Amino acid sequence: MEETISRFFDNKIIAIAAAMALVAIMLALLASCGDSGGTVFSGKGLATGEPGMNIYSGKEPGQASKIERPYPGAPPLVPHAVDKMNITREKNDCIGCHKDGIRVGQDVATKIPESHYEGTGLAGIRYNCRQCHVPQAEGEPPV
Amino acid sequence: MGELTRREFLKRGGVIVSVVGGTIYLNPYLDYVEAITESLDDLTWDKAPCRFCGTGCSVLVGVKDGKIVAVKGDPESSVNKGTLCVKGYSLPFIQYGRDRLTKPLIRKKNGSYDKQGELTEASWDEAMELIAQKAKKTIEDKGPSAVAMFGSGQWTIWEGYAASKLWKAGLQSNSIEVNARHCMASAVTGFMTTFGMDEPMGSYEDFSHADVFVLWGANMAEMHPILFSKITDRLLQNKNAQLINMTTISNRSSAMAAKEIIFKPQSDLAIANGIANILINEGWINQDFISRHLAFKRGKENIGYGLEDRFAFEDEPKASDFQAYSQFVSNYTPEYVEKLSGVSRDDLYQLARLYGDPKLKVVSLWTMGMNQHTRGTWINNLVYNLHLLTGKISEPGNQPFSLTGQPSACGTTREVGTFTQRLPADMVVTNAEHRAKTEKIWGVPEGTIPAKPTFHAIEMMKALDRGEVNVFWSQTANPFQAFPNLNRYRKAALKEENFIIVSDVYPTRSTEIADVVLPSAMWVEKEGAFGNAERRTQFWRRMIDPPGEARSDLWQTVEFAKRMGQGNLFEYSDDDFPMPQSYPSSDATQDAGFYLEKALFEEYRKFGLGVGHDLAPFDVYHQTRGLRWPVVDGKETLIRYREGYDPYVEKGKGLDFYGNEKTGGKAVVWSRPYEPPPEVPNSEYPFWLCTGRVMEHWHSGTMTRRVKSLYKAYPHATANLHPEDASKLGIRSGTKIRISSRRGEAVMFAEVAGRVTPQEGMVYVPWFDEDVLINNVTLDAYCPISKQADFKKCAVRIEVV
Repeated sequence: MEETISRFFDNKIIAIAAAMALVAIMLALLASCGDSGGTVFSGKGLATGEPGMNIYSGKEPGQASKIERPYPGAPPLVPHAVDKMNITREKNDCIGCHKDGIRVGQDVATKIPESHYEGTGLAGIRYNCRQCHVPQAEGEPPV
Repeated sequence: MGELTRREFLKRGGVIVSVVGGTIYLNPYLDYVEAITESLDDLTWDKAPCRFCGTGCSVLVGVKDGKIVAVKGDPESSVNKGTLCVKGYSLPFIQYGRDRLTKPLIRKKNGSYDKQGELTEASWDEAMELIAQKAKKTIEDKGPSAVAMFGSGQWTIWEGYAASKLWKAGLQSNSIEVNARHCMASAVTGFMTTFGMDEPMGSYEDFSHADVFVLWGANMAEMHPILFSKITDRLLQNKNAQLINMTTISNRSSAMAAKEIIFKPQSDLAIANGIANILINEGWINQDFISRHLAFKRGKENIGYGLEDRFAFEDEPKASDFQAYSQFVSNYTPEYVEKLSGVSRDDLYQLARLYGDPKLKVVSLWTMGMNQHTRGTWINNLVYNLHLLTGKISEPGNQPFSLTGQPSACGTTREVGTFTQRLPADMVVTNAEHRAKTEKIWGVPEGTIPAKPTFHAIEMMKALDRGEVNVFWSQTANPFQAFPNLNRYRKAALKEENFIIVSDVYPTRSTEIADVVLPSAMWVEKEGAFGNAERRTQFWRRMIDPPGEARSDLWQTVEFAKRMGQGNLFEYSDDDFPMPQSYPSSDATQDAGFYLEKALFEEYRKFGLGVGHDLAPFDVYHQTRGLRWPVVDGKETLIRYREGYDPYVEKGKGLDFYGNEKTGGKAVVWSRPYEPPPEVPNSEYPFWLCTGRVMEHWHSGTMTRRVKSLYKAYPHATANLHPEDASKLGIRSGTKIRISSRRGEAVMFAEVAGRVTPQEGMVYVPWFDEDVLINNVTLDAYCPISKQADFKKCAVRIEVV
């Protein structure tokens, strides 16, 4: 089976030795910067050389503390598990707690703002809560 | 600042409105946890279309101290009515990833270019000189077709236009292609063969009038969230409206559906013909419409899959008639269709009833499921057949609707014509009159544009491997992650004689094998224009500065042109196109000394005027939330081909498919058979592999995976399996597996009963993850008519690692 062709990463241990040699060469190049006329680019991008698994908190509503919004006006992120919650034409499981912002466990559910309503109900274009409000998994971006 | 005040300034139109007072958390970089409190003084807002998908939502961008600090859904836009999806709300972060490219890089050893060297910082002058030198040498040795440009449906309209003009008129090379070949080419050939004119006849307004929505292999809930919410809105407001989700994978779109219909890969061809057969047998067709508005044709069959190098195909359409067509579809009995597709006779009959009931208005929707298909042109034709036989087309709520993947796949690649065979306004290089018209508008001598197309996308990569293309320049694309059968093409790029240039904003899987990397300006760092899926052309102004020495792709192309002795293609008068005074101009305009974007657009407009592709004057687009072409007498067009809506339809005609001059304005119903895919599961490779996207990530993830909240929402690509298959293989969620095909392999973690569940015998892997290069596994077979690759079907083996 063919290997993934990469200038920087490879899954095989043998590549690590090569990478170490490469680092040595790069350091040598950096040291000789004055002669070769330029800084060697050190950016490695997002690739880490290993696949990952998406692991979410799994905490029930009320057990998890709120996550700070990326910026004011950004949709709040979901701190609790959502895999058992459904949004169908007949029923939206989010509305139960978030319509009035009721107390759940130690916390108060973030209340759906006025902007989301049209007439008496949730505006259709905002009914699919998860198009904006997403849970957060473990781990940080590699960059 | 109170909520009311905020709403007020949004209502003012959101264009350069300053706001005073209040607080805002500023987090121009990724560290939102460490966000600081600042006042809203001097925050300015301006409009722009979203950077991501083809929906074309309008956003209001809030800028403070030269940085984007917030975005809002634009309440003035009829596309998104004040909301956005999670990707749209992440726009303030996409330009501020820590490893943004800010300097040109050249692969060097001992201070000079060396294919085996390291990417080393260089000046623009040195980088552009090296590119020009390589291009000149290659043209000298092998001719202009050996110098290739690979662009994108994420190019702005003028970036695509400038590149096309430079290549076709300047370098006299038709070696220009776009990643939209992998995205929309089958949609184009579907439109051209059925209607003689590209792009949808309807608009998103149709969603508010439909009774039935049929998804043909499109998971809109994730891939077009705002359009899916427009459908949701209709379903909630009209209890009789219904959604049918036809798919090979159980997905989120089913949550709103009256019925989820799972079909076997490739069998959509049989299903569409089977529905047509029932429509005819039951008399659910519109005879009057058929006799007045339709022509019938049949093309070549057993047309191959393009797996061989230099594969060539030309269809030979023959005239047919209703009777012969009826005979043709009569083979697709419900029993036969059930055998091929797994769709029950009852479900097929119900589908036919929905299409056939004259009281029900039907919108059919599709994207990659139908376009990335070795019979992509055919399946587009076959779904049009259903709307044509029933006359359910070009009226409010009755439309076939081909959705678009990229923000300007329509506006740039299709309308400007940045494919090897195309020219602006649906013209082609193989047509002498089309070339003459183009040469006249471009002010170049007759005979300048080469009459023969060179390489479509897959063939361009194969030509790189064969040594027929030696200079390959990618702009706004990530080909060395995105192409199918990736191993072959990554190896090709690394061949000593090949010179790879990648213009991008971050290090990617393509920059890592590039010989020159050019740092690009992105989105609102330049002035831009996109065209969305409903023919809406939208503009934005430059709002912030690009970082470091980053430059727009337009500037790069014009700079390259100058060094190739083709600078005159981009010389216009500053009397005609004075630089903008009331807002900042782009780097390209500043360098030119006149309003380059305006000059290019006004020239480009000449192609469409009077031929059904009319665009409004440049300045109009800066004042509107976009307009849907044709724009005639200042009015946009919501529905094409219908009298009263479309200014091109003469009074009294009612309906006129005027793109088809040869058939006298009739749309074409095609007899297209079911043919099997090129590679099917067997004992050695027992599973289907289907690839695609997830909601949170855009294409190869280079922007969205640098946004913390998006990364954390869906960090990694996993392999989604059916529980029965997982159980048989001893796999659970979290088991590390290897997926391999005849071409390559990828290692990742399995997910069972995750967000999507494929049918038994299929595995679904999204392609956004740089650590899961699933395209090493995929097959580079394509539709012989559209040349679009099929990323949805190949045979693989799954093993626990």
